[in-house]
Amino acid sequence: MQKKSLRIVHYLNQFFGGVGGEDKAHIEPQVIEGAVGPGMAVQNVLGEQGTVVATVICGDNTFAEKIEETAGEVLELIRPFQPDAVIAGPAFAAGRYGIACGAVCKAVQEQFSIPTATGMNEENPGMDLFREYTYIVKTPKTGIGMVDAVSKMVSIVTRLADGQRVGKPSEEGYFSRGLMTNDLSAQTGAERAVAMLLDKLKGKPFESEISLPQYDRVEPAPKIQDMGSATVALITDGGLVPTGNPDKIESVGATKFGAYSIEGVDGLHPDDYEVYHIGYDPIFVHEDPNRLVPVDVLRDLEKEGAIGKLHNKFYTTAGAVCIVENIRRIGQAIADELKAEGVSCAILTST
Amino acid sequence: MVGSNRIVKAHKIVTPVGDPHLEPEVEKIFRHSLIEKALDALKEDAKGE
Repeated sequence: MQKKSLRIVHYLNQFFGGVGGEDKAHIEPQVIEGAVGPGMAVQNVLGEQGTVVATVICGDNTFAEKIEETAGEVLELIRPFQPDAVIAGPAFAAGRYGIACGAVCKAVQEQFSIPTATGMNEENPGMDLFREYTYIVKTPKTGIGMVDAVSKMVSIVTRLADGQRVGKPSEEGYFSRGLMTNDLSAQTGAERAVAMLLDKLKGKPFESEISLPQYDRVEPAPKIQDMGSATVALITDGGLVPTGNPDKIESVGATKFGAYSIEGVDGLHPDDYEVYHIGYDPIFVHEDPNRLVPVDVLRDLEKEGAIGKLHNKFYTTAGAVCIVENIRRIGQAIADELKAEGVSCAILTST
Repeated sequence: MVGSNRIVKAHKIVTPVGDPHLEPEVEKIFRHSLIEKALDALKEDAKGE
């Protein structure tokens, strides 16, 4: 029986879409019928299996500046073509492009429930953000990997569109999506575990069935030489916010942090703050917020000259069931701000 | 158990740098002693335990 010919829509940025370089990174989403640029390679690989019916092109800055909104606009350009699958990029190491490709694939997957694939280098920020929502094929940093990436992307979406399963990340060359699938094995778990252990003891290569979490090794900052001239900042993950939580920091799975002025404040007053954090009983911190963010003591130390200065803001988020990627981004953003403002060191009080 | 001199043991989850069972003036001294430990840690090189 002849398989249905697949309709594919391809997403490209302004550069690969042939519109222009950085000078055109602000163009609004637009659609062209048929394949453009690297879309020709997609069509070549597809052959008789399908057709690139349209190409959506958008500027990288347009996307980066308003991701959700632009993804929505791209969806509406794709919709009339009724594709069976969408392919984006590949973006290689281009960060804004990678985020755009990931966002397009995620939105298409969620709204149209059709298979999607894109391609990125492992350092692309779009990779960690979107790996769970689509299939991101591993590529080198630059375009020499174009044909190989396109082949893998097309192979993945055509099989998925046909109702077939796609193999493991290591087999197919895409970044792990963090999913576990059930498989049948001729050996019991005990047999497989012992075989793996024997390989490990012999120094032979082995593949863990479950991937272990990767923790960063972070170089600690060097010691403070002269605390008497240091600026000390206070940070907390206890979710202390100004009454009413004006920035709507989430009490669980926080995606953002707040920075609140303590300029001229000798100690935090219970009327001015409250806790938004699902993980502990805030009763004692509500009575006296200095029990979490010790402004009163730091202010005394500043007046005594034990520290040079208490930084004029404290930083806060709720460290309850956070996604590692989000909390890492929050930490980096706070660190960047502290460095930019000449802060020497920080005390983070944690619940 | 993760350990480092730059991780100073706070009092309790619900009151990291306080103790509601102490009189306020005494509690502030207690808070001060914990902060002093934190500042001491910042004045030393980081060490694993």
